[in-house]
Amino acid sequence: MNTQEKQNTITTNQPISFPPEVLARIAPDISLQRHLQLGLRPCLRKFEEFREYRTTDGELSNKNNPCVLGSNISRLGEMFVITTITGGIIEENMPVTEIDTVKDEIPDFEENTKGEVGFASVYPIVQVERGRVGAPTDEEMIVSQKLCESILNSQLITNNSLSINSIGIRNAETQEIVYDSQKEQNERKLLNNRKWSYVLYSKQQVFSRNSPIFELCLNSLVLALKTVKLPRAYIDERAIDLKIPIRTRGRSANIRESYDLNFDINERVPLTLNIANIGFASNFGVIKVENSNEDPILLADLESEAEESSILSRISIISTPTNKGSATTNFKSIYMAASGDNVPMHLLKRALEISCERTNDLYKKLSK
Amino acid sequence: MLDSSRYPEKVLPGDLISPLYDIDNNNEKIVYSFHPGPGTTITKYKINSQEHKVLIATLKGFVHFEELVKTNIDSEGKESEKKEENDTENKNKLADELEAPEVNSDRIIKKYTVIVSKEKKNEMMQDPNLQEGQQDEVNNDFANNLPKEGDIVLCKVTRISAQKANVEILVVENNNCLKDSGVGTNGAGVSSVTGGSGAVTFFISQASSDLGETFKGVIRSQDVRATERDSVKITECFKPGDIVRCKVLSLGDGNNYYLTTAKNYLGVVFAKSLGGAGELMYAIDWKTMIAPTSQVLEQRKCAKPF
Amino acid sequence: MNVQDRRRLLGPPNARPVAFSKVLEEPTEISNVSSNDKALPYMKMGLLTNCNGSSYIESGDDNLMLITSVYGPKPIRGSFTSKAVLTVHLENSIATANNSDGSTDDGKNFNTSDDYKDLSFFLKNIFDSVVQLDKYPKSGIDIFVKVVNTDSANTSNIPKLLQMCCNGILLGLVDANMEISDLVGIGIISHECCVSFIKNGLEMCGFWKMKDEDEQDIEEIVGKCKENYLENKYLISSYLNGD
Repeated sequence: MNTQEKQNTITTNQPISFPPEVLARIAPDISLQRHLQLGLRPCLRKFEEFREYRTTDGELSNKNNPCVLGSNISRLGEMFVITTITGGIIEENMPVTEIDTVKDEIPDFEENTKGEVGFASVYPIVQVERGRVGAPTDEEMIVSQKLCESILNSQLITNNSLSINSIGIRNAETQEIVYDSQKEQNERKLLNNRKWSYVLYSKQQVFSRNSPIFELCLNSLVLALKTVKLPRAYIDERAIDLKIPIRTRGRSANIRESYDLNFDINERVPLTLNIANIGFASNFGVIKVENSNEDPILLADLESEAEESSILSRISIISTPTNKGSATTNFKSIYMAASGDNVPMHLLKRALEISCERTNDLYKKLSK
Repeated sequence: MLDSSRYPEKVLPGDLISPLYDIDNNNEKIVYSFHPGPGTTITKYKINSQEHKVLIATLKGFVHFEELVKTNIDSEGKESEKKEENDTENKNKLADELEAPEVNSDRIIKKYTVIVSKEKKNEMMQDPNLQEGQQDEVNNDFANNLPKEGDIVLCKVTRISAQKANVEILVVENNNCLKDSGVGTNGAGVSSVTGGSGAVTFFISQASSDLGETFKGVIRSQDVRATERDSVKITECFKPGDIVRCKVLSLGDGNNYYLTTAKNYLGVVFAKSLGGAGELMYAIDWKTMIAPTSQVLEQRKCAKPF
Repeated sequence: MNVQDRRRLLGPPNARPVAFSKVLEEPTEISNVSSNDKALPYMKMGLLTNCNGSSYIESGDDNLMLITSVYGPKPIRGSFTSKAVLTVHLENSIATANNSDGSTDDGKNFNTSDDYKDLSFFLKNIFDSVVQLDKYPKSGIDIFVKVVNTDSANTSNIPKLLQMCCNGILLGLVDANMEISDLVGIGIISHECCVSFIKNGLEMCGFWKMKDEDEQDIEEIVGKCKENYLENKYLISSYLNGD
């Protein structure tokens, strides 16, 4: 039916016809244009319609996988992503190189760091399940980097919330762990004022990839971060006085204390996030319909082969939900690449509007 | 007619369908001989400590019987080839109540191909064969739509030289697309000039290659058209990026399928003018295409569009 | 020394993974013969859209979740082969503590990749015997099994894992419409041993045993496994028929 119509525009009377899925494979641009001319998208959604977003929180972080600190499974149409968050610790005086470089790029950043300690990010690894092994693809690397920067720039996690403020002490005999603020003071002295903080890692596996993945990954990562519970750290009473010589290359042995921090599986503290900075992402494409003199049209939430391979003008927006008090919305990131058709101003405005609506909708749904 | 209700209708892989030979319920003289088609295979089965050859299903779906040729044993000479096949199978056969058919010259053999397919339709799809006409229906049945000899495939030209055009096979016509060959699996196709890191990933069965594995094919210059085969100039027939409808000549070597366009209905179906920069062109005769607005004429070996 | 991985964001190099002390890993289940008839596994075919066949299995009793995807037949490079090449990849997709692909994993809370290679190879051998490889010339078939979640952090119950993987791959192949000669299945009797069967238990096509100390009657083992296999096969075929 559809195919017949498509083909009729090419030639009259009984032409060769291709089934829709075959046409989409051999000539995605033609397939897309034929659909758009009928007022449809290849996925049969309306131009500004999003796919349904469903999510499950925290199911994968349980007693049996204690290392998984937080998790989320998000589904957008048929595509879904499994996000798991794990952690590490690091001594705080060591600079974290990646974050330093970003500091230079954001002028605001310095100001913020004066009052507080600054903001932290997550180290994500994105894997798209596509039946391959080997090094990550360009897409996976780019999305990982973008996720890392987006979380940092949205100022969601403060360094304070990741630092370990009190270290418990385990009694050698009773095996009980005491977290006491009084003792903590003493212990601080014992530990030579050394401080530790957590580092967060995430692993995101994308299945059934049929559209750009960044937006889904970001939303899932943010939701997973909301579920993160950091285990409290403790140290063995006996280990406090332990000194271990550490040999560094080319020098004589230094005597240095090494504290073997352990983690308490039963005591967990939720990670505090800057709730106001939680943002959700949505993407848009802009394309001109052939044989029409009108402006290009805006498509929300790109999906399917035809759209992805022939729409090169894209907008990706991260926005925070509108607060009840203030009417202004906070945009965390706007990314636009007009490598295909030009993006007129009114479409960009429209995209911003829709992204806010989408974010508010998601926020309402997810905070229930 | 074959009474198919005697055999299972719905099967799972490994289920028994039928013995290789069977006798009609009503007429002892009619012998059915079953051949394995798609979704079935021959295996040995032990019944009462005796081995029998039987047909079993290898797919989940519905059983269909398709009559092949009506064979009368008396007219043996005519069917030399098919007969031979039959004979070798007969030698292996251990069915007790059936002697070799040649001995019972009064028996009528009816050959059936047994097919298992997902569809419950009685009308099975015909092979997408070389008829000029096309079926409208897509055969969504088999993932087993690897290009075979005689199949019609749609390809994209990747490289041309004086002797041949290299293509990659996109789909086997009238078969469904393999889901794992699209953007979702192969990536958006936009990667850095050097091939990016995409070049480092590979799917395991393959030692290493670029991203986006498709079956590759070759159209040699002598296979482009049926007449004046020696004077073919590839550049006047194909350009990189064209979508070409071809027929598979042979499975070829390890790397390439050998394809031909030496038929009226084979050749370029979609092409853009100016080496892909221009607009979509339409065929006006078998070797010329035209771009409708710019009126640019370009030479191609076109497929008959009707 | 490790060459630094510059393709992934691995975070600060001197970070230590959050790992929990071994004390907590006391075996939660006593390794006796657990019959899996208490909770039926949940099965679903066709979960993923960008592969030819896929399945999802969640075993009822120990929270094991598997996603299987079948890719191919895909073209293979090199010399002409008349048969398809089958590969099976079993991998743990639970995030490891330090987030790379396990090679630099200090917190050995997770299965080492070695074990998984063994298992992959075992599964490959099983499926080599049932997939009709000669119907797919010049091509390769890749099967990926991802363990999304599991209760037993260590490989305490390999046979159970193998059984579920086998079921998952089987459903994936059926979903992909690959030609397979039988519904192959694995029967387990203990946490150490499992046997795979075809043709309703008439033929064996795989045998896995981990501990060799206790002399057991092989025939007895096979007999018990066969019972379990038939139960399992009944489950699979009733799922496929009800679908």
